[in-house]
Amino acid sequence: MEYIMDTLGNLVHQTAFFNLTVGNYVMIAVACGFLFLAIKKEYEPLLLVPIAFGMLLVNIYPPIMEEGGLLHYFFLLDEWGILPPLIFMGVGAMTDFGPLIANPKSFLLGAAAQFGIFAAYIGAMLLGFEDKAAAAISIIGGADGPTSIYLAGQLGQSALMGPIAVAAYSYMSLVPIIQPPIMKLLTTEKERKIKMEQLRPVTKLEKILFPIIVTIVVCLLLPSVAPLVGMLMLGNLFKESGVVRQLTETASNALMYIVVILLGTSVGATTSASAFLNVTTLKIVGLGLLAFCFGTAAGVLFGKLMCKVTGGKVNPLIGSAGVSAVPMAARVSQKVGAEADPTNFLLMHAMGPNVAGVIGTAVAAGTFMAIFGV
Amino acid sequence: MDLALILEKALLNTLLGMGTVFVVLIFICLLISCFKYIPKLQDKFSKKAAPEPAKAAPAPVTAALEEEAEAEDDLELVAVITAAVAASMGSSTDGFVVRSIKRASNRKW
Repeated sequence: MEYIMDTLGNLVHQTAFFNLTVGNYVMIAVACGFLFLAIKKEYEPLLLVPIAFGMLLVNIYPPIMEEGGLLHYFFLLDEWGILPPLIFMGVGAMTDFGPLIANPKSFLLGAAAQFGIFAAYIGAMLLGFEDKAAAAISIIGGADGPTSIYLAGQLGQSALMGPIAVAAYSYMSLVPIIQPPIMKLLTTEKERKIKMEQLRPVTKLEKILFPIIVTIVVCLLLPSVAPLVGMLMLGNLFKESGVVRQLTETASNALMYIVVILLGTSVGATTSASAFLNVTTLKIVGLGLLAFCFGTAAGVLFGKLMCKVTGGKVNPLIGSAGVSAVPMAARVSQKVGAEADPTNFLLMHAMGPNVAGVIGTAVAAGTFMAIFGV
Repeated sequence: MDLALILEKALLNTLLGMGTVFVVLIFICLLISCFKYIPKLQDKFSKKAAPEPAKAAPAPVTAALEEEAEAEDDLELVAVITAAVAASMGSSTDGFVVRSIKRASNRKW
Protein backbone atom coordinates (compact mmCIF):
# COMPACT_ATOMS: atom_id res chain seq x y z
CA MET A 1 0.00 0.00 0.00
CA GLU A 2 2.76 2.35 0.95
CA TYR A 3 4.46 1.54 -2.33
CA ILE A 4 1.38 2.49 -4.31
CA MET A 5 1.02 5.81 -2.43
CA ASP A 6 4.69 6.61 -2.99
CA THR A 7 4.51 5.86 -6.66
CA LEU A 8 1.32 7.85 -7.07
CA GLY A 9 2.95 10.69 -5.17
CA ASN A 10 5.95 10.60 -7.49
CA LEU A 11 3.71 10.57 -10.53
CA VAL A 12 1.77 13.56 -9.27
CA HIS A 13 4.99 15.45 -8.64
CA GLN A 14 6.13 14.52 -12.13
CA THR A 15 3.20 16.36 -13.71
CA ALA A 16 3.89 19.79 -15.02
CA PHE A 17 1.69 21.46 -12.39
CA PHE A 18 4.44 21.24 -9.79
CA ASN A 19 7.24 22.41 -12.02
CA LEU A 20 5.79 25.37 -13.88
CA THR A 21 5.95 29.03 -12.94
CA VAL A 22 3.24 31.65 -13.36
CA GLY A 23 5.20 32.89 -16.37
CA ASN A 24 4.87 29.51 -18.03
CA TYR A 25 1.10 29.66 -17.70
CA VAL A 26 1.09 33.17 -19.17
CA MET A 27 3.13 31.92 -22.13
CA ILE A 28 0.82 28.92 -22.58
CA ALA A 29 -2.07 31.38 -22.82
CA VAL A 30 -0.10 33.49 -25.32
CA ALA A 31 0.67 30.39 -27.40
CA CYS A 32 -3.03 29.47 -27.45
CA GLY A 33 -3.81 33.03 -28.52
CA PHE A 34 -1.34 32.73 -31.40
CA LEU A 35 -2.82 29.38 -32.41
CA PHE A 36 -6.24 31.01 -32.49
CA LEU A 37 -4.92 33.84 -34.69
CA ALA A 38 -3.18 31.36 -36.99
CA ILE A 39 -6.02 28.86 -37.38
CA LYS A 40 -9.17 30.91 -37.02
CA LYS A 41 -7.96 34.20 -38.50
CA GLU A 42 -5.46 32.55 -40.90
CA TYR A 43 -2.79 35.02 -39.85
CA GLU A 44 0.42 33.72 -41.47
CA PRO A 45 -0.57 30.16 -40.51
CA LEU A 46 2.42 28.52 -42.19
CA LEU A 47 4.74 30.18 -39.71
CA LEU A 48 2.53 30.91 -36.78
CA VAL A 49 1.25 27.36 -36.22
CA PRO A 50 4.73 25.83 -35.74
CA ILE A 51 6.01 28.86 -33.79
CA ALA A 52 3.01 28.89 -31.44
CA PHE A 53 3.24 25.15 -30.92
CA GLY A 54 6.94 25.35 -30.08
CA MET A 55 6.03 28.08 -27.61
CA LEU A 56 3.38 25.82 -26.09
CA LEU A 57 5.67 22.79 -25.78
CA VAL A 58 8.60 24.59 -24.20
CA ASN A 59 6.42 26.18 -21.56
CA ILE A 60 4.77 22.89 -20.61
CA TYR A 61 7.98 20.90 -20.71
CA PRO A 62 11.02 23.21 -20.49
CA PRO A 63 13.62 20.39 -20.80
CA ILE A 64 12.62 20.00 -24.44
CA MET A 65 14.99 22.93 -25.12
CA GLU A 66 17.77 21.67 -22.87
CA GLU A 67 20.63 19.37 -23.82
CA GLY A 68 19.02 16.13 -25.00
CA GLY A 69 15.65 17.70 -25.81
CA LEU A 70 14.20 17.42 -29.31
CA LEU A 71 13.74 21.12 -30.02
CA HIS A 72 17.21 21.85 -28.66
CA TYR A 73 18.62 19.93 -31.62
CA PHE A 74 16.30 21.67 -34.05
CA PHE A 75 17.51 24.94 -32.58
CA LEU A 76 21.16 24.06 -33.15
CA LEU A 77 20.39 24.19 -36.87
CA ASP A 78 19.32 27.83 -36.42
CA GLU A 79 22.27 28.63 -34.24
CA TRP A 80 24.74 27.10 -36.67
CA GLY A 81 23.24 29.19 -39.46
CA ILE A 82 21.97 26.26 -41.52
CA LEU A 83 18.22 26.79 -41.73
CA PRO A 84 18.06 30.50 -42.68
CA PRO A 85 20.18 30.09 -45.85
CA LEU A 86 18.03 27.09 -46.85
CA ILE A 87 14.93 29.27 -46.55
CA PHE A 88 16.70 31.82 -48.70
CA MET A 89 17.27 29.16 -51.34
CA GLY A 90 13.54 28.47 -51.38
CA VAL A 91 12.77 32.19 -51.58
CA GLY A 92 15.19 32.50 -54.50
CA ALA A 93 13.52 29.61 -56.30
CA MET A 94 10.18 31.39 -56.01
CA THR A 95 11.28 34.94 -56.78
CA ASP A 96 11.16 36.57 -60.18
CA PHE A 97 13.90 39.19 -60.38
CA GLY A 98 12.56 40.37 -63.75
CA PRO A 99 11.10 43.67 -62.47
CA LEU A 100 14.42 44.48 -60.82
CA ILE A 101 16.40 43.69 -63.99
CA ALA A 102 14.02 45.83 -66.05
CA ASN A 103 14.37 48.74 -63.63
CA PRO A 104 17.75 48.52 -61.87
CA LYS A 105 17.17 51.89 -60.19
CA SER A 106 14.96 49.91 -57.79
CA PHE A 107 18.20 48.85 -56.11
CA LEU A 108 18.51 52.39 -54.73
CA LEU A 109 15.09 52.13 -53.08
CA GLY A 110 16.02 48.74 -51.69
CA ALA A 111 19.12 50.35 -50.18
CA ALA A 112 17.31 53.41 -48.80
CA ALA A 113 14.77 51.33 -46.90
CA GLN A 114 17.61 49.71 -44.95
CA PHE A 115 17.92 52.97 -43.04
CA GLY A 116 15.34 51.58 -40.63
CA ILE A 117 17.88 48.96 -39.54
CA PHE A 118 20.44 51.57 -38.63
CA ALA A 119 17.89 53.82 -36.93
CA ALA A 120 17.02 50.88 -34.69
CA TYR A 121 20.72 50.19 -34.18
CA ILE A 122 21.25 53.69 -32.81
CA GLY A 123 18.12 53.31 -30.69
CA ALA A 124 19.28 49.97 -29.29
CA MET A 125 22.72 51.36 -28.43
CA LEU A 126 21.07 54.24 -26.57
CA LEU A 127 18.83 51.80 -24.68
CA GLY A 128 21.95 50.17 -23.32
CA PHE A 129 22.31 47.06 -25.48
CA GLU A 130 25.87 46.12 -26.25
CA ASP A 131 27.17 46.45 -29.80
CA LYS A 132 26.47 43.02 -31.22
CA ALA A 133 23.11 42.68 -29.50
CA ALA A 134 22.08 46.08 -30.92
CA ALA A 135 23.05 44.96 -34.42
CA ALA A 136 21.15 41.67 -34.11
CA ILE A 137 18.03 43.47 -32.89
CA SER A 138 18.15 46.22 -35.49
CA ILE A 139 18.05 43.84 -38.45
CA ILE A 140 14.36 43.30 -37.63
CA GLY A 141 13.92 46.56 -39.58
CA GLY A 142 14.70 44.64 -42.74
CA ALA A 143 11.44 42.73 -42.16
CA ASP A 144 13.27 39.57 -43.02
CA GLY A 145 12.91 36.67 -40.57
CA PRO A 146 15.67 34.36 -41.88
CA THR A 147 18.27 37.15 -42.03
CA SER A 148 17.40 38.21 -38.47
CA ILE A 149 17.87 34.67 -37.16
CA TYR A 150 21.04 34.20 -39.18
CA LEU A 151 22.66 37.40 -37.94
CA ALA A 152 21.67 36.75 -34.32
CA GLY A 153 23.30 33.33 -34.60
CA GLN A 154 26.46 34.62 -36.24
CA LEU A 155 26.87 37.41 -33.70
CA GLY A 156 26.47 34.94 -30.83
CA GLN A 157 23.19 36.40 -29.62
CA SER A 158 21.21 33.18 -29.33
CA ALA A 159 19.76 34.37 -26.01
CA LEU A 160 17.97 37.16 -27.91
CA MET A 161 17.05 35.01 -30.89
CA GLY A 162 13.55 34.17 -29.61
CA PRO A 163 12.27 37.70 -29.10
CA ILE A 164 14.05 38.87 -32.29
CA ALA A 165 12.52 36.13 -34.44
CA VAL A 166 9.06 36.54 -32.97
CA ALA A 167 9.22 40.32 -33.44
CA ALA A 168 10.55 40.00 -37.00
CA TYR A 169 7.89 37.53 -38.09
CA SER A 170 5.12 39.48 -36.34
CA TYR A 171 6.06 42.72 -38.05
CA MET A 172 6.32 40.94 -41.40
CA SER A 173 2.68 39.98 -41.07
CA LEU A 174 1.74 43.42 -39.77
CA VAL A 175 3.14 45.16 -42.87
CA PRO A 176 -0.35 45.91 -44.26
CA ILE A 177 -1.28 47.67 -41.02
CA ILE A 178 1.94 49.54 -40.20
CA GLN A 179 2.94 50.86 -43.61
CA PRO A 180 -0.09 52.61 -45.19
CA PRO A 181 -0.45 55.45 -42.63
CA ILE A 182 3.24 56.34 -42.99
CA MET A 183 3.04 56.16 -46.77
CA LYS A 184 -0.01 58.42 -46.89
CA LEU A 185 1.50 60.87 -44.43
CA LEU A 186 4.63 61.37 -46.50
CA THR A 187 3.13 61.58 -49.99
CA THR A 188 0.67 63.92 -51.65
CA GLU A 189 -2.46 62.76 -53.44
CA LYS A 190 -0.88 63.83 -56.72
CA GLU A 191 2.25 61.74 -56.12
CA ARG A 192 0.20 58.68 -55.25
CA LYS A 193 -1.63 58.99 -58.57
CA ILE A 194 1.56 58.91 -60.65
CA LYS A 195 1.41 56.13 -63.22
CA MET A 196 4.70 54.51 -64.10
CA GLU A 197 5.86 53.48 -67.57
CA GLN A 198 5.46 49.83 -68.41
CA LEU A 199 8.55 47.76 -67.67
CA ARG A 200 10.52 46.45 -70.63
CA PRO A 201 10.39 42.71 -71.25
CA VAL A 202 13.36 40.82 -69.82
CA THR A 203 14.97 37.98 -71.79
CA LYS A 204 15.79 34.57 -70.41
CA LEU A 205 19.53 35.15 -70.82
CA GLU A 206 19.35 38.23 -68.59
CA LYS A 207 17.47 36.31 -65.93
CA ILE A 208 20.08 33.56 -65.98
CA LEU A 209 23.00 36.00 -65.82
CA PHE A 210 21.48 37.98 -62.94
CA PRO A 211 21.97 35.47 -60.09
CA ILE A 212 25.46 34.60 -61.30
CA ILE A 213 26.62 38.21 -61.54
CA VAL A 214 25.00 39.28 -58.26
CA THR A 215 26.64 36.35 -56.46
CA ILE A 216 30.06 37.15 -57.85
CA VAL A 217 29.84 40.88 -57.14
CA VAL A 218 28.23 40.76 -53.69
CA CYS A 219 30.28 37.84 -52.40
CA LEU A 220 33.52 39.37 -53.64
CA LEU A 221 32.74 42.67 -51.92
CA LEU A 222 31.23 41.18 -48.72
CA PRO A 223 32.31 37.54 -48.36
CA SER A 224 30.57 37.17 -45.00
CA VAL A 225 27.22 37.39 -46.74
CA ALA A 226 27.96 34.52 -49.13
CA PRO A 227 25.83 31.92 -47.28
CA LEU A 228 22.70 34.07 -47.52
CA VAL A 229 23.08 35.73 -50.92
CA GLY A 230 24.74 32.65 -52.38
CA MET A 231 21.82 30.39 -51.45
CA LEU A 232 19.25 33.00 -52.56
CA MET A 233 20.89 33.25 -55.96
CA LEU A 234 21.41 29.49 -56.26
CA GLY A 235 17.68 28.99 -55.75
CA ASN A 236 17.00 31.64 -58.37
CA LEU A 237 19.43 30.08 -60.81
CA PHE A 238 17.64 26.73 -60.36
CA LYS A 239 14.44 28.48 -61.39
CA GLU A 240 15.72 30.59 -64.26
CA SER A 241 18.08 28.06 -65.83
CA GLY A 242 15.06 25.89 -66.58
CA VAL A 243 17.16 22.73 -66.75
CA VAL A 244 16.80 21.54 -63.15
CA ARG A 245 13.09 21.60 -62.63
CA GLN A 246 13.27 18.90 -59.92
CA LEU A 247 15.70 20.99 -57.86
CA THR A 248 13.56 24.12 -58.24
CA GLU A 249 10.54 22.12 -57.20
CA THR A 250 12.31 20.66 -54.16
CA ALA A 251 13.91 23.92 -53.04
CA SER A 252 10.69 25.89 -53.25
CA ASN A 253 8.33 23.24 -51.91
CA ALA A 254 9.39 20.12 -50.01
CA LEU A 255 12.70 21.38 -48.62
CA MET A 256 11.34 24.84 -47.89
CA TYR A 257 8.47 23.47 -45.80
CA ILE A 258 10.66 20.96 -43.96
CA VAL A 259 12.88 23.87 -43.00
CA VAL A 260 9.89 26.00 -42.00
CA ILE A 261 8.74 23.26 -39.61
CA LEU A 262 12.17 22.87 -38.01
CA LEU A 263 12.77 26.60 -37.84
CA GLY A 264 9.27 27.51 -36.67
CA THR A 265 9.08 25.04 -33.81
CA SER A 266 12.61 25.73 -32.59
CA VAL A 267 12.20 29.51 -32.77
CA GLY A 268 8.90 29.23 -30.94
CA ALA A 269 10.63 27.14 -28.31
CA THR A 270 13.11 29.92 -27.51
CA THR A 271 10.26 31.77 -25.84
CA SER A 272 10.32 30.00 -22.48
CA ALA A 273 8.84 32.24 -19.80
CA SER A 274 12.21 32.90 -18.17
CA ALA A 275 13.78 34.03 -21.45
CA PHE A 276 10.80 35.87 -22.90
CA LEU A 277 8.82 37.60 -20.17
CA ASN A 278 11.17 40.46 -19.38
CA VAL A 279 11.89 44.08 -20.17
CA THR A 280 14.41 43.16 -22.87
CA THR A 281 11.66 41.60 -24.98
CA LEU A 282 9.58 44.75 -24.65
CA LYS A 283 12.54 46.85 -25.76
CA ILE A 284 13.16 44.55 -28.73
CA VAL A 285 9.53 44.70 -29.82
CA GLY A 286 9.57 48.49 -29.51
CA LEU A 287 12.84 48.81 -31.43
CA GLY A 288 11.49 46.51 -34.14
CA LEU A 289 8.51 48.79 -34.67
CA LEU A 290 10.80 51.84 -34.75
CA ALA A 291 13.02 50.11 -37.33
CA PHE A 292 10.05 49.22 -39.46
CA CYS A 293 8.57 52.72 -39.45
CA PHE A 294 11.90 54.36 -40.23
CA GLY A 295 12.58 51.88 -43.02
CA THR A 296 9.22 52.55 -44.63
CA ALA A 297 9.64 56.31 -44.27
CA ALA A 298 13.18 56.28 -45.67
CA GLY A 299 12.02 54.23 -48.67
CA VAL A 300 9.13 56.58 -49.41
CA LEU A 301 11.28 59.70 -48.97
CA PHE A 302 13.93 58.30 -51.30
CA GLY A 303 11.10 57.50 -53.71
CA LYS A 304 10.07 61.17 -53.55
CA LEU A 305 13.63 62.18 -54.32
CA MET A 306 13.69 59.85 -57.33
CA CYS A 307 10.32 61.25 -58.36
CA LYS A 308 11.76 64.79 -58.35
CA VAL A 309 14.96 63.79 -60.16
CA THR A 310 13.16 61.88 -62.92
CA GLY A 311 10.57 64.63 -63.36
CA GLY A 312 7.65 62.68 -61.92
CA LYS A 313 8.21 59.29 -63.52
CA VAL A 314 8.57 57.39 -60.24
CA ASN A 315 5.67 56.89 -57.85
CA PRO A 316 7.12 57.34 -54.34
CA LEU A 317 4.79 54.64 -53.02
CA ILE A 318 7.01 51.91 -54.44
CA GLY A 319 9.78 53.06 -52.08
CA SER A 320 8.09 51.54 -49.05
CA ALA A 321 8.41 48.12 -50.70
CA GLY A 322 12.16 48.40 -50.15
CA VAL A 323 11.73 46.70 -46.78
CA SER A 324 12.06 43.10 -47.79
CA ALA A 325 8.81 41.44 -46.67
CA VAL A 326 8.20 39.79 -50.06
CA PRO A 327 5.60 40.11 -51.50
CA MET A 328 3.48 41.76 -48.79
CA ALA A 329 5.24 45.12 -48.98
CA ALA A 330 4.79 45.27 -52.76
CA ARG A 331 1.12 44.46 -52.38
CA VAL A 332 0.75 47.30 -49.90
CA SER A 333 2.25 49.74 -52.44
CA GLN A 334 -0.21 48.44 -55.02
CA LYS A 335 -3.13 48.81 -52.63
CA VAL A 336 -2.31 52.33 -51.46
CA GLY A 337 -1.73 53.38 -55.07
CA ALA A 338 -5.03 51.87 -56.15
CA GLU A 339 -6.82 53.72 -53.36
CA ALA A 340 -5.69 57.03 -54.87
CA ASP A 341 -6.44 55.92 -58.43
CA PRO A 342 -8.12 52.54 -59.07
CA THR A 343 -6.55 52.30 -62.52
CA ASN A 344 -3.01 52.55 -61.16
CA PHE A 345 -1.13 49.25 -61.10
CA LEU A 346 2.06 49.56 -59.12
CA LEU A 347 2.53 45.91 -58.18
CA MET A 348 5.19 45.01 -60.73
CA HIS A 349 7.01 48.31 -60.19
CA ALA A 350 7.01 47.69 -56.45
CA MET A 351 8.35 44.15 -56.84
CA GLY A 352 11.67 45.66 -58.00
CA PRO A 353 12.45 47.52 -54.75
CA ASN A 354 10.90 44.62 -52.84
CA VAL A 355 13.35 41.98 -54.08
CA ALA A 356 16.16 44.53 -53.98
CA GLY A 357 15.26 44.94 -50.30
CA VAL A 358 16.00 41.24 -49.70
CA ILE A 359 19.47 41.71 -51.16
CA GLY A 360 19.82 45.01 -49.28
CA THR A 361 18.96 43.46 -45.92
CA ALA A 362 21.40 40.63 -46.53
CA VAL A 363 24.09 43.17 -47.42
CA ALA A 364 23.31 45.15 -44.24
CA ALA A 365 23.64 41.93 -42.22
CA GLY A 366 26.94 41.22 -43.97
CA THR A 367 28.13 44.72 -43.17
CA PHE A 368 27.41 44.18 -39.48
CA MET A 369 29.32 40.90 -39.58
CA ALA A 370 32.22 42.66 -41.26
CA ILE A 371 32.16 45.52 -38.73
CA PHE A 372 32.28 43.07 -35.84
CA GLY A 373 34.83 40.88 -37.56
CA VAL A 374 32.72 37.72 -37.58
CA MET B 1 30.66 54.13 -21.54
CA ASP B 2 28.99 57.48 -21.38
CA LEU B 3 26.20 58.48 -23.72
CA ALA B 4 28.25 60.72 -26.00
CA LEU B 5 30.73 57.93 -26.69
CA ILE B 6 27.98 55.40 -27.37
CA LEU B 7 26.21 57.79 -29.68
CA GLU B 8 29.43 58.55 -31.52
CA LYS B 9 30.13 54.88 -32.08
CA ALA B 10 26.55 54.16 -33.13
CA LEU B 11 26.50 57.03 -35.60
CA LEU B 12 29.86 56.05 -37.03
CA ASN B 13 28.75 52.44 -37.55
CA THR B 14 25.50 53.69 -39.08
CA LEU B 15 27.39 55.86 -41.50
CA LEU B 16 29.72 53.01 -42.43
CA GLY B 17 26.88 50.50 -42.67
CA MET B 18 24.51 52.64 -44.72
CA GLY B 19 27.46 53.67 -46.88
CA THR B 20 28.43 50.07 -47.58
CA VAL B 21 24.83 49.08 -48.38
CA PHE B 22 24.53 51.96 -50.85
CA VAL B 23 27.92 51.39 -52.46
CA VAL B 24 27.29 47.67 -52.98
CA LEU B 25 23.77 48.14 -54.31
CA ILE B 26 24.72 51.08 -56.55
CA PHE B 27 27.51 48.95 -57.98
CA ILE B 28 25.10 46.10 -58.78
CA CYS B 29 22.62 48.64 -60.09
CA LEU B 30 25.19 49.94 -62.59
CA LEU B 31 26.11 46.43 -63.68
CA ILE B 32 22.51 45.38 -64.14
CA SER B 33 21.81 48.59 -66.07
CA CYS B 34 24.13 47.23 -68.74
CA PHE B 35 21.76 44.26 -69.10
CA LYS B 36 19.50 46.33 -71.33
CA TYR B 37 22.06 45.92 -74.11
CA ILE B 38 21.83 42.13 -73.94
CA PRO B 39 18.59 41.84 -75.94
CA LYS B 40 20.08 44.15 -78.60
CA LEU B 41 23.23 42.04 -78.82
CA GLN B 42 21.13 38.90 -78.99
CA ASP B 43 19.11 40.45 -81.82
CA LYS B 44 22.26 41.26 -83.72
CA PHE B 45 23.59 37.73 -83.40
CA SER B 46 20.31 36.10 -84.27
CA LYS B 47 19.91 38.37 -87.29
CA LYS B 48 23.31 37.32 -88.58
CA ALA B 49 22.33 33.70 -88.15
CA ALA B 50 18.74 34.01 -89.23
CA PRO B 51 18.64 34.79 -93.01
CA GLU B 52 19.81 31.40 -94.32
CA PRO B 53 17.34 29.10 -92.58
CA ALA B 54 14.64 31.69 -93.15
CA LYS B 55 15.10 31.32 -96.92
CA ALA B 56 15.06 27.58 -96.75
CA ALA B 57 11.95 27.20 -94.67
CA PRO B 58 10.14 30.47 -94.12
CA ALA B 59 6.74 29.01 -93.29
CA PRO B 60 7.50 26.92 -90.17
CA VAL B 61 9.64 29.66 -88.66
CA THR B 62 6.91 32.26 -88.85
CA ALA B 63 4.35 29.78 -87.62
CA ALA B 64 6.47 28.98 -84.60
CA LEU B 65 7.00 32.67 -83.95
CA GLU B 66 3.30 33.32 -84.13
CA GLU B 67 2.62 30.54 -81.70
CA GLU B 68 5.17 31.90 -79.31
CA ALA B 69 3.74 35.38 -79.60
CA GLU B 70 0.28 34.02 -78.94
CA ALA B 71 1.39 32.20 -75.80
CA GLU B 72 3.03 35.38 -74.56
CA ASP B 73 -0.09 37.40 -75.36
CA ASP B 74 -2.17 34.97 -73.37
CA LEU B 75 0.08 35.33 -70.35
CA GLU B 76 -0.20 39.07 -70.58
CA LEU B 77 -3.93 38.80 -70.95
CA VAL B 78 -4.13 36.57 -67.88
CA ALA B 79 -2.15 39.11 -65.87
CA VAL B 80 -4.37 41.95 -67.03
CA ILE B 81 -7.60 40.07 -66.31
CA THR B 82 -6.36 38.95 -62.90
CA ALA B 83 -5.39 42.50 -62.01
CA ALA B 84 -8.69 43.88 -63.27
CA VAL B 85 -10.75 41.38 -61.29
CA ALA B 86 -8.63 42.02 -58.21
CA ALA B 87 -9.10 45.76 -58.56
CA SER B 88 -12.85 45.54 -58.98
CA MET B 89 -13.18 43.17 -56.03
CA GLY B 90 -10.80 45.30 -53.99
CA SER B 91 -8.74 42.29 -52.98
CA SER B 92 -5.27 40.98 -53.78
CA THR B 93 -4.60 38.66 -56.71
CA ASP B 94 -3.65 35.57 -54.74
CA GLY B 95 -7.15 34.30 -54.11
CA PHE B 96 -7.88 33.18 -57.66
CA VAL B 97 -6.28 32.06 -60.89
CA VAL B 98 -7.30 32.65 -64.50
CA ARG B 99 -7.29 29.10 -65.85
CA SER B 100 -8.21 29.60 -69.46
CA ILE B 101 -9.26 32.25 -71.92
CA LYS B 102 -11.75 31.35 -74.64
CA ARG B 103 -12.90 33.52 -77.46
CA ALA B 104 -16.65 34.02 -77.28
CA SER B 105 -18.34 32.76 -80.43
CA ASN B 106 -20.66 35.72 -80.38
CA ARG B 107 -18.56 38.77 -81.15
CA LYS B 108 -21.18 41.31 -80.08
CA TRP B 109 -20.75 42.08 -76.44
